[in-house]
Amino acid sequence: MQIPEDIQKQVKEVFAPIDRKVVIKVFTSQENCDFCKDTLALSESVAELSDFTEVVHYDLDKNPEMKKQYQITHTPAILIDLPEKTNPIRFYGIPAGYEFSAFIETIRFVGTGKVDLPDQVIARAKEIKAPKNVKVFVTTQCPYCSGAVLTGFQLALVNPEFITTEMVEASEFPDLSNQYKVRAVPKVVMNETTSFEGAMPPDMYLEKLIEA
Amino acid sequence: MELFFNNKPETKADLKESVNYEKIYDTAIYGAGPAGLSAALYTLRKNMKTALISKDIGGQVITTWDVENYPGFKKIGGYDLSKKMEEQITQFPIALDEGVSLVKLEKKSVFEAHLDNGKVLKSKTVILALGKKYQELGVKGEKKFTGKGVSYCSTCDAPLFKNKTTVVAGGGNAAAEALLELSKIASKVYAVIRKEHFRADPVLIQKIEETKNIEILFNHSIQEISGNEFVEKVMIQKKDTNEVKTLETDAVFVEIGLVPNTSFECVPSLTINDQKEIRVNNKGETNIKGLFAAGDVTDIPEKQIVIAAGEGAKAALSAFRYLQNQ
Repeated sequence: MQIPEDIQKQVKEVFAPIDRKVVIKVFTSQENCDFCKDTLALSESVAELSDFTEVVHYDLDKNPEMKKQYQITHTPAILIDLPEKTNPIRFYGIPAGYEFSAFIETIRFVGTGKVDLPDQVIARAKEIKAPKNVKVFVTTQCPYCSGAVLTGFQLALVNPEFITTEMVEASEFPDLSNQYKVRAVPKVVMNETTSFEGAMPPDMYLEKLIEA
Repeated sequence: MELFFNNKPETKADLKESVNYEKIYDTAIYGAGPAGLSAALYTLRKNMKTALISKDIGGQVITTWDVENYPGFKKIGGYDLSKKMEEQITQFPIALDEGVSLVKLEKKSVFEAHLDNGKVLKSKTVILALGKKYQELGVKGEKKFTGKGVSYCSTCDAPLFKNKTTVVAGGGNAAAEALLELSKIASKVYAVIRKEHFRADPVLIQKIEETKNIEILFNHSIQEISGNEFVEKVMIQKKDTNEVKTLETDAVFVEIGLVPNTSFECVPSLTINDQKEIRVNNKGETNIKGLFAAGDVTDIPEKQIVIAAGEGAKAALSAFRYLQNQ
């Protein structure tokens, strides 16, 4: 997928401070996956914009064992490796439209080891010692959604041992949207117990997560 | 497939910090749409200690698909434009709290704003740039089903209703665009319009009339939205005959315009017009000394991004001069 030149320029500037290798794992399959091909192409195009980024492609039809190993429930899926080889963040669905920003910023966070959260939020997120899962349902046309995704991803990056966050493109996965009763986006589901719709500042988001 | 992206290429420094509620700021700006962000740019450049409080950054602009009438840009996404405005102000030391709303504003020795985070923000001047919000239908079931089929953001939520039946309330441009967008996704779209005609641009009306899965119901108003867990039905009434009928639907997209965000309490009272807009003079001054307003929340005619930005700048300069004369 060809990324427009003006956007390539902007992405390169964001990637400039990256100083460590970022492995973007893309999982695709043939069946029932309208966006697998585009997701792989987009990821490869993005990876070309930095010397530190690399795409590893897993075709689950050829490597079905990878599905289990990485606990991939839907395709396309993107996992971005942390240096410790853990995968607390994942995208289910193509990170296009407004989610493209979330994709690029997440690579920057991982590649620099720095997030944009306030210090007190980082400190409090690190105190979490019980498993927390966040699912953020989005549509690529939703300007409010990438903020909810990025907050969830940053919390997971700050405390990857206990916090995992998934972006789910709601229109690509109607089964998940129905299961989680998604009728508006962004919808944030925390630990399968708490949910809310709409964007929320990081400190309030974290409080909800602690309560979940 | 579109990719929306905006980083911070022009301003590397980001000097924003959280609001310090112990301090008294030179000015507190409420609202961060084009008027509020523009006002902040001007107060910051005048070295005024500035606090900016807003529920979100960008306001109505961020849900605007393309902006083609803002000087300097042939075409720019609304989200991108608001990000550029935000980046421009965060190169200055600004105190900014997002996700916070104004509940009550009092003028004592200084202005004291009671916020929904439970805190009180003190400032010598205030600039209200609160913008407008989506107007609600005000019918039974609307609040109960908000987020459960009732939506005020068709661009966000339309993709969730693939092959479903949907209703769009309203007859202006926003409603027309929602109808056309939904017609590509939903199996059936009802247009429920109170008047006997659209108020939308002719080019949009023509497209709607040519679209087979849109059924237009002029002279009808929604009376009630009902269902169990999610929206299942709307009851509509025909204006001239009072005939009532029920439409089965999975969603109701409310696109009936906007109302000013002036529901907060103000002591002393602000002068507002019959449309609940804050009255301002040509300097952005309200009836309360030291309290200024700008943008769509005011009675200034023509609600445009460029006008809001200009009014924000004017209110900021007026606040600066007010402080100089104190």
